[in-house]
Amino acid sequence: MIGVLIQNVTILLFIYVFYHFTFRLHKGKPRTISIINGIFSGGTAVLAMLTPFQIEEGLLYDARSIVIGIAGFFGGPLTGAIATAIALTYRISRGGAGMVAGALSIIFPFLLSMIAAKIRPRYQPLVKKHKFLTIIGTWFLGFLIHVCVVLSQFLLPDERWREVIPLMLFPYLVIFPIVFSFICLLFLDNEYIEKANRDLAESEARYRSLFQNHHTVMLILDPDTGDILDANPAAEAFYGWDHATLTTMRIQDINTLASEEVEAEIAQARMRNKHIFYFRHRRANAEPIDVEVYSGPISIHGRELLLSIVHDNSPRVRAEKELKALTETLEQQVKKRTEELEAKTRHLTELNREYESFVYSVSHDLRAPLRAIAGFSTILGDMLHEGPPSANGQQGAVSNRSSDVHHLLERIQANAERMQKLIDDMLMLSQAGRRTMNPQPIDLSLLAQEIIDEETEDKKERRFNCVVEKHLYAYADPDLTRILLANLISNAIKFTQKQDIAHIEIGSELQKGKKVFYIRDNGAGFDVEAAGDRLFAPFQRFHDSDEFEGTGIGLSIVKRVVTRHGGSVTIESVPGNGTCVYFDFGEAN
Amino acid sequence: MMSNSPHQPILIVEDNPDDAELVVIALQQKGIKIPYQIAKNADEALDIALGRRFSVLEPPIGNSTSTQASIPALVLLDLKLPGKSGLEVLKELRAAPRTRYVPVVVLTTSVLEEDMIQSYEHGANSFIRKPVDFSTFLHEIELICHYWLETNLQPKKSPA
Repeated sequence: MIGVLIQNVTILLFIYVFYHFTFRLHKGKPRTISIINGIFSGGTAVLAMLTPFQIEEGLLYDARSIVIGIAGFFGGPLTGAIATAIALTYRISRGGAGMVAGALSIIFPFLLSMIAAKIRPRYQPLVKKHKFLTIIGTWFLGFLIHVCVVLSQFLLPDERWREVIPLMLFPYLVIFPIVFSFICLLFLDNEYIEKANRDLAESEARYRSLFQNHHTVMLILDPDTGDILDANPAAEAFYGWDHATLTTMRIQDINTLASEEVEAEIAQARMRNKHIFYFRHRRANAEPIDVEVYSGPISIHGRELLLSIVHDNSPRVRAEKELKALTETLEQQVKKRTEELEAKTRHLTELNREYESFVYSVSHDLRAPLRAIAGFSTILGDMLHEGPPSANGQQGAVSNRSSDVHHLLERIQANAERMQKLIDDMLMLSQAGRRTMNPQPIDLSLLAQEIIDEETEDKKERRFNCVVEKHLYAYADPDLTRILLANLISNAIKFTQKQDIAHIEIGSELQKGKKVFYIRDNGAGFDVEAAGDRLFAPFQRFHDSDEFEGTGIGLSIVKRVVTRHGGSVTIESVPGNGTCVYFDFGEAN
Repeated sequence: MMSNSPHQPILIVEDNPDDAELVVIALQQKGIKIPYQIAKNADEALDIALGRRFSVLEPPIGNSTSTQASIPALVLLDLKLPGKSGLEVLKELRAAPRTRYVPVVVLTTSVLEEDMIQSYEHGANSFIRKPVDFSTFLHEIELICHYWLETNLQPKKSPA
């Protein structure tokens, strides 16, 4: 009896071990595995049937119900069906009185286990929550199977059930359900472990794939040494070293910072103080690259490592650099524009000031001849009406009177002429400022000589010594230049009128590397210092008007012409010792 | 009629000979028989007023033949002069003890308020704008001389 029991237990353990093994292969070809399992289970059931309990002569009871139940419940319909078919074939071929009951003892476990397998998923969540339900459930399935087996004994011929069933009650309804439940638990546990292993492998594969296949550069570092423990293919492509090389390197070899600094940064990452870093990394082609590194500790096999995700930051750094450059350019432009505007404002202010002083001077200087004309004509009128104004002119009244009249008329005429001259000069000044410029190459020498000839023509009584340097060329507006030279030359002629011989020299010289023209005379000269900023202002005169006639507009015209060409004019003069005017036409020359 | 010393002339500072002539004619027409001197520029004016140069007095000198430089009884000062301006003449006159109290009447064509303010600031006694109309000018010259030569008498320096 004991030997038979051990045999049966061995059979059951055998089926367990076999299933355990085939479960592993389960993944590959489920159909084939199911068929193998079915044949094996059928075989085991036959084996069980070969080592029965003998309750009575001709009545054999065995563990076939357990084997078929397990095969159906865990192996699935195909396995169960094959096992059932094999077991049935064998049992029917054996025949005997218990054939029908024996066949039912195979069919019932199969059907019940099928039903149980079917409804199993429905109770899965509940069972997961309350582990003890697994025990109860499997025991209940075993119990139900064996109740059916016991009930099928009623089909034994000759009412043999009366003897048989009481004998079966204890082993079938007490022992077998417990054994069934126990084996089920073993299977479930195996199933659970297999699933856990599968899940683990899957999750590992998933994370491995995350690391391996992601296009982001990832490195795993040993935070203590900086050794690169792993690097993904993206890292290989990024740095240009293969995996084998990279894993022999340290992060200190890649980072352009000094080792101590890198170690300090690793410490920061490790303590989670900081997780984004901006570095410059070396690459196999020696070309450094700006990177953004996300780094933080991860735990692998109980060891704390550092996972670093590296992004190419060079586009951003470049963009920032460009933005900065652009901003600087903009700032410079703004600055330049501001300066231009300020210069323009200054220029406008200057113009406005000039304009005001001009209007003032016009009103002043035009009024003078007007007043003279009005005054002298009034006196003349009175004189013609009342007689000579002379306080002591009692005698020679007629001749006095006629000479006085003559004098007054002369004064009136002179002032009218002066007014004419003032208006002409003012027009010229205004023209010098407003005319459209048409610069072109000019032979200054030729032009100057021409003007000198014109100006000296009606002064035959004077002696001139004029020297004009040959080939003085300039790039300037011809009309304005003529006005300029005419003013300067007529000044020179005017202020040399008291010299025995008037020396006038026109030439050029280099001043600070710049070609400057000059016109020099040996005339009266004047105190340039005292003239100060009135030097080029209109209507300013530096000589007594009875000595040298003039409107005081000439130098204003000169200044304006030169300024319009972008040049400048300076005057050197000493009273009684001549004057020299220097001028240029600016950058164009 | 004149209580001033006949030796003290009127100093006319005027660069425009026509304007100077008009002043002289105005003085004559109003019968002001005081000698006058004409300075054509600032330096000349200061030389005469400060006695740095002896100057032959212009007629009508009348009873005087003195060539002794005397302090002007009145200065008629134009502001716009060649070179140094009338305002500078005024400043120097006021700075010199000899001419500090000589009445100075600014006679100008200037329409700038600034000129008037500056003139008074530097011690001008009057500021007159030369009118274009000659009769008005005559009247103004008369008023100036009446006020500064007769009414507003300076203390006599020597018995007449």
